[in-house]
Amino acid sequence: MTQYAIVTDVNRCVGCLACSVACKVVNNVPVGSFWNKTLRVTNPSEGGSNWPDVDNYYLTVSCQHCENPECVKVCPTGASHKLPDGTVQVDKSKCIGCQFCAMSCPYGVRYLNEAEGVVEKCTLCEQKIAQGELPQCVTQCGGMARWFGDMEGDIRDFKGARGETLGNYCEEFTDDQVYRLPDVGNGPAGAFILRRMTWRGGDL
Amino acid sequence: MELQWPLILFTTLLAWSAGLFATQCIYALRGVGARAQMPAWITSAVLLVVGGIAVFMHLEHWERIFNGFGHITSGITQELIAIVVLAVVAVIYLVYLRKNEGAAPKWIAWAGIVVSVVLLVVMAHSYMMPARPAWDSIFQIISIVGAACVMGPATMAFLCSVVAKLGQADPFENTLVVAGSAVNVLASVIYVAVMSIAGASYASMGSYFDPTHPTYPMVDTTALSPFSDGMVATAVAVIAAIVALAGAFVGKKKGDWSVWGVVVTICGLVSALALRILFYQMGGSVFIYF
Repeated sequence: MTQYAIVTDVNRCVGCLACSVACKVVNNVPVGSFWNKTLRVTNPSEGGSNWPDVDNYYLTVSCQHCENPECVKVCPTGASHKLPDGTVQVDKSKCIGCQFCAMSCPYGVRYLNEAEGVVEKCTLCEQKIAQGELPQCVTQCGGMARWFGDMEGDIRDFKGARGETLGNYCEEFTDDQVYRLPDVGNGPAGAFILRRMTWRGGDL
Repeated sequence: MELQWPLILFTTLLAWSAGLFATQCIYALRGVGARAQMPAWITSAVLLVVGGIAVFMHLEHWERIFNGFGHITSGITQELIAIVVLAVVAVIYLVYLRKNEGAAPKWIAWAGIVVSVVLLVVMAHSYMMPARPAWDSIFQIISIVGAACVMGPATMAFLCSVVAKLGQADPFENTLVVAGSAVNVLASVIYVAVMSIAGASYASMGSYFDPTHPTYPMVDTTALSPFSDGMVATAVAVIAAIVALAGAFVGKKKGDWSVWGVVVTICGLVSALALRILFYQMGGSVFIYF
């Protein structure tokens, strides 16, 4: 079983938004929709609040291609479905635009394409990964923060833009420095590595 | 999240329709109100059809509805199945009404009550999503059943009084309207309370900012409370439910539902609509930051 996903080294992300822009360009994402968005999280660091003693990091949020996706469960036509490579995709020809998938997604990463009347989201650039290429947000990441691979294997083997692997290129990390977005039973596949700062948003 | 009016109307009208059909089945079990049975059946059917039309307005591509429709884990599929089952039972019920001059056998009356309740539970259950803490509660289901409990008996009492001209109300009829209104008050208040504690389920990000929308205010999770400023729907839902209950008591005292049946029904409808509006206003996801 394969479970493709993106691992983001949050310490490396500089918040340039290149991933968001690259995604919009390569996938023709409509104005107002973001298949990949960036949230700046800025809080006092643990143990002190003297400025600039702050935790500041950027969180890139897109479809987490969950192991047990609620969006697939609620779809009445099977338009939202999970592929053997673990990615969650939308068959637009089957989508009736009921938007229950968007309601059931914990991360708000599904958008109604008003021109086409169907729901869209990050495909993990299926058109590229099916050919052995990387998702465009990974290819375009200026900070070498985004890495792509199979979660069934070691995330240190995930590949980055220049052919390196996450394990060889990034600063060492421990398992307890690998975080997920809030899990309400959906099992988000994407992961985030954060060192020396307090992870926010996973306290459910 | 933004108000989904087609769904608000669909759920409310379906509660009304199923509530009325279940009530006329209860009347049939008691062997009362035979002359009101046909008007009640027609009213219930009209409400079901109007609700059905409303929900189609929510779909972007309704013409694709049979393009693979039937994914059984989907709440929408389950709702459709429940509606079809209710429609079949209602048609059989109609056949008996026509044949027996307003009387229906007990087995079909029981079937009508059961499918009505099942439909409401299935419909409300389709909104129970772990991603939306304010929706993911059994009290959300009970609130829909509560709406049916107030609108159904009150409408039936009105039809008995005005359309069927059955004269002085039956004590059982009075009790049904009062009990239904009381259930609605209780269900509405409890669900509002449940929504108010759902705020603890949102992921906490501390201080955050969306660089792609620098001029947009970010979502403030503390504002997601039924008691925060601007949540007029909370007051309307609860007050209308209480007024419906008060109207039920007055109607019971007077033994005449020609006016008070309408008052209770309208207040129940307003309460149900307001609660569904609040439902969407409170419908933030656990990770609400976009």
